[in-house]
Amino acid sequence: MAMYIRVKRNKTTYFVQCDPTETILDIKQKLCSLIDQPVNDQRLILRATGEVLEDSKTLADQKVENDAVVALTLRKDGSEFEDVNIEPPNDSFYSREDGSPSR
Amino acid sequence: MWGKKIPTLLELCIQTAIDNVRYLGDVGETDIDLLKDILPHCTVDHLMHIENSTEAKQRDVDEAQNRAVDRFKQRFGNEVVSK
Amino acid sequence: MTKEEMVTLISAEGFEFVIDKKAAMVSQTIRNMLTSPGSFAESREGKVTFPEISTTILEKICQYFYWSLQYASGKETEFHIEPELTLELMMAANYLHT
Repeated sequence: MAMYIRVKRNKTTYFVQCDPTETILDIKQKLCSLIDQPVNDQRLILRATGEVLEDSKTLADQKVENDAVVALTLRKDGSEFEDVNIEPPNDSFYSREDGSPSR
Repeated sequence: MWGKKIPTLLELCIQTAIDNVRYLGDVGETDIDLLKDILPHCTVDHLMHIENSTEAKQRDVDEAQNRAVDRFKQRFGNEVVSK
Repeated sequence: MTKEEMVTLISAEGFEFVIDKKAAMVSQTIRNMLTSPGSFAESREGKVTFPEISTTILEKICQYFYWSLQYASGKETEFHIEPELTLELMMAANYLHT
């Protein structure tokens, strides 16, 4: 396994195995089988930079590295995409969390 | 083919705990079996700090600590330890 | 990466981590849950709840699973553990035989 990314939405994190040469569309297709949402209704955002990731580009192109956190937002009923929502872990370590990506 | 043995998470944690022994505080929730590998790496000051942080839940931490203190005494003599 | 190949681990606070079964089985305890026939209802549904493991710790454990797979395939990096997580992570690792 070359690398993995952590795709987060609300209280759920998907660990997705991938390769730096895969495109964002490839990743969305993988997610599609897990969350039953068509790729067109998915948007992926690199949390470290807030950058919206483009379907045609590869992970390497957009500096998405091993263990990176990527936010997933969805579009329901053809309307706008929802805002990024990643719930912070509601545990005793939470105060330490500043929302920055882990290394 | 498996090359080098993969370190278990437990081994990595114990190593991290030993490397950061000066930050150890309340060990009241930690299994004594796990502490056995860590406490011998403490200085007397560390042990006192751990003991004070853990007080209410003493259990047999005392025992492991006393053993470590005994070893310390053997090595450095009693006067270092007595306060 | 189909649903059948994945398993969901749920933390004490109800956060869900969807990971490859292959990764989860790095833990001997989870391997037993997923492979012993009929013993765990959760395993049939592909969901395992850990009421004793907090979210931050469970995520760290999942990261370790993947790190371990990478290590096995020859990518030998260092696994970073934050000192403040050590004791609780150690307890969980002990429980999960990891």
